[in-house]
Amino acid sequence: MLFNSFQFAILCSITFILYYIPALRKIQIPILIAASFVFYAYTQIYLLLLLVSSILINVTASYLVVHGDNRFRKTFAIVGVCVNLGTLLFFKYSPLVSLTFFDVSRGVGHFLAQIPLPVGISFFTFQGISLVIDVFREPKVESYKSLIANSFSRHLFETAFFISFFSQLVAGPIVRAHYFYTQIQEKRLSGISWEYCFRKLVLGYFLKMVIADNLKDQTFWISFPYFLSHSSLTLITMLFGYSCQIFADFAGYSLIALGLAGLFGYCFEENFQFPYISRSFSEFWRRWHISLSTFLRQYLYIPLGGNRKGKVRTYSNLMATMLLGGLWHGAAWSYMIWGGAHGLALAAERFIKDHIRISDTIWFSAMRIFFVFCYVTTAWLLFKLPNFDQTVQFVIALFNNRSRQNSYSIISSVLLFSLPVVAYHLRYLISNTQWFKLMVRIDSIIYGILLFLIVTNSGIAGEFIYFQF
Amino acid sequence: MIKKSVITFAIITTVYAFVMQLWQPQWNTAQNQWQENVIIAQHFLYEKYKTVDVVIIGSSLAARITADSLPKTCFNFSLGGQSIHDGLKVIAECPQKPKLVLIEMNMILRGCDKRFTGELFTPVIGNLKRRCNFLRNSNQPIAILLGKIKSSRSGSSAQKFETTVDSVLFNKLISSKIKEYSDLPDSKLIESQFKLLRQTVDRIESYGTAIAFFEMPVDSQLTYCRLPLVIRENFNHYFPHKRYTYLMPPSGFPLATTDGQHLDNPSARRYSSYFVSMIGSFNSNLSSR
Repeated sequence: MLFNSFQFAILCSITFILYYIPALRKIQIPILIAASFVFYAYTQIYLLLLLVSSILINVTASYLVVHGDNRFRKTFAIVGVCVNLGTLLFFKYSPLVSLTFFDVSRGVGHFLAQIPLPVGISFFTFQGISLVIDVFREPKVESYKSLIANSFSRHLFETAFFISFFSQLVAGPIVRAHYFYTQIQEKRLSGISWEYCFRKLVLGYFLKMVIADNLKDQTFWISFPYFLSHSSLTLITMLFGYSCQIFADFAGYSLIALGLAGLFGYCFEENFQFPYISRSFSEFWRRWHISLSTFLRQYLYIPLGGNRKGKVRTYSNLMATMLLGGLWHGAAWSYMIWGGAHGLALAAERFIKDHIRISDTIWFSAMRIFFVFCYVTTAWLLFKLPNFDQTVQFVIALFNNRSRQNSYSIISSVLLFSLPVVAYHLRYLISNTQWFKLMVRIDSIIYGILLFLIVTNSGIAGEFIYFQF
Repeated sequence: MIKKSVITFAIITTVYAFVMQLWQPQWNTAQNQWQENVIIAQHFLYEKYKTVDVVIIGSSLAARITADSLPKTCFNFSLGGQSIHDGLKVIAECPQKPKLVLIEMNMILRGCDKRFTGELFTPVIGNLKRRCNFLRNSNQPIAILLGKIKSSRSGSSAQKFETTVDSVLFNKLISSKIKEYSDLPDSKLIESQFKLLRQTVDRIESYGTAIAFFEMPVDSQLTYCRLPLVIRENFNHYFPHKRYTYLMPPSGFPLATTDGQHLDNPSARRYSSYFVSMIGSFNSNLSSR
């Protein structure tokens, strides 16, 4: 079910009304759980079994870690994490294993190739892992003690809610247990921050429905074999457009998730902070898909040793984290290459920072922003063309197709629809200036225009790109 | 802030709706193929269906049949990048059915595009677009702006398709098409697509509409590959020649394509004349029954 579908509007409206009826206040969590199950099962009801299994695994593992036999705390935690990872590996990477090691047309290879990829599995398994590890760390971190209710049934409901909440179920943000559980309590209509929700929802739907959904129909021509016939300028423009599209799609979704959660009284952390003005790759990963990079840092990079085990170990930890982070995005080796490209950039950047003094002038900062943006944009090609051979052909076409006729129709559409993404980032850059104060005064006009464009200029609905992860 | 935003939205929308009632852009506002398909479908579904007797259903191949070759009562409802099932779904939902539907055979195996039919038939929004023309895809404000920019650059629709082909590129494309046409998809897919077509044809025929099939000419290297042969066999199985009329490509007709599949401009014109003459004689046979 898409956030911009008629069915979701009905589901959300009914849930919202029931949720705030005073007589039903005591069952607010079950109402949201029921709505979330309907949301998830809408297109493929059998996937509900997987979601329920994931919930039960995480409920049991986390409860046993806290309230079970103390001698086996570590065992329960390891089993919980392994079952989560095993589920993810089985459903997500079986086709890749089949393609790489077996004959997909028969036997084991055929069986593995048929395994379906459940929507959102990468997100809710990571949330489950976050829960189990956070409660395992409970003795060390005071605030984690209260995460697990003494009553198993209460813990079951809270965990079912945490894992399945429709707002972030299928494409994040990846909410960490210690951040979410402390918010679980009765909510009232008067507690809603309406302006916050309005801003998030309008901007989110605008980025998704007007920008991403329109750009996708222009960047379609990056696919093989269509890109072969386009000029270098058209290809570069489409690649730029794809970079804006992927941001608009994902950031738009995250903003909608934040706005929806806010309507029900829950607050998620921001998942995007103007990533395309990053002056370094480490800054990029502090601004892009923040929930994932935080998860990888907390649960992978730091446990591997982080930067505390010497320089060589730091670089290898960075590479390992990014390679696995890349693979998380999709079951194809090209995603791992994408992760490796970012790992290499991070490692190289750290090396440079350790050995060379970097200038802080405006012009040099602008060059750095441009370089990081170009590198990141080029790397996105591996998302659009997961077949590495086609990626190479695209890069060759970028250089060879200079004499082909430009498609000004595509170029003008891409540039026009990418403009709001550029403006969005520029607004952040001017946030300490008088211009920004001026813009804030006309915010209501801007949001009125955004609403108008959502109603009149939405593209043909496409799935959120990150649904495939 | 919310109140001011909603008021701003209401004012802009009201003004825009009023302007769109009084004025329609005289240029093509489609920004891309999919939007063009939706615009064509909405135009047919909301207005054109009342005045056409013959509808051509096809893919981007049949979209090469030039509109100015066709009589006024004939409408080319071919959707680039999409399946014949999408076009047939629109016909099936139309309040008034045409007298004759001509169905392209080449892209039978392409699946339905649920986003396309969702865009047209979503409850509430679909009805709003039918009643409020400013909400239709052809009247999107940015689309109008971009369409104006495009129309000041491009020529007539006769120059829409390429006339010259880069031979290196052509060879790459035709090689990949030969490979594609030589591999057979899963037999279950073939069966399911033909069964779906059978069901849809039965539904449309129940309204008294006649159905005929036509095959768009492609490069001679592709014509007798495994895939088109299997498609023709299945058409004969599900829609026997003794019951249905088939308009097959003329043999020995000089035709060229841009990529092995899509006719280039001169070929499209020549073929369109031939096609019109064929449906003319078929149509007169139909009228005399």
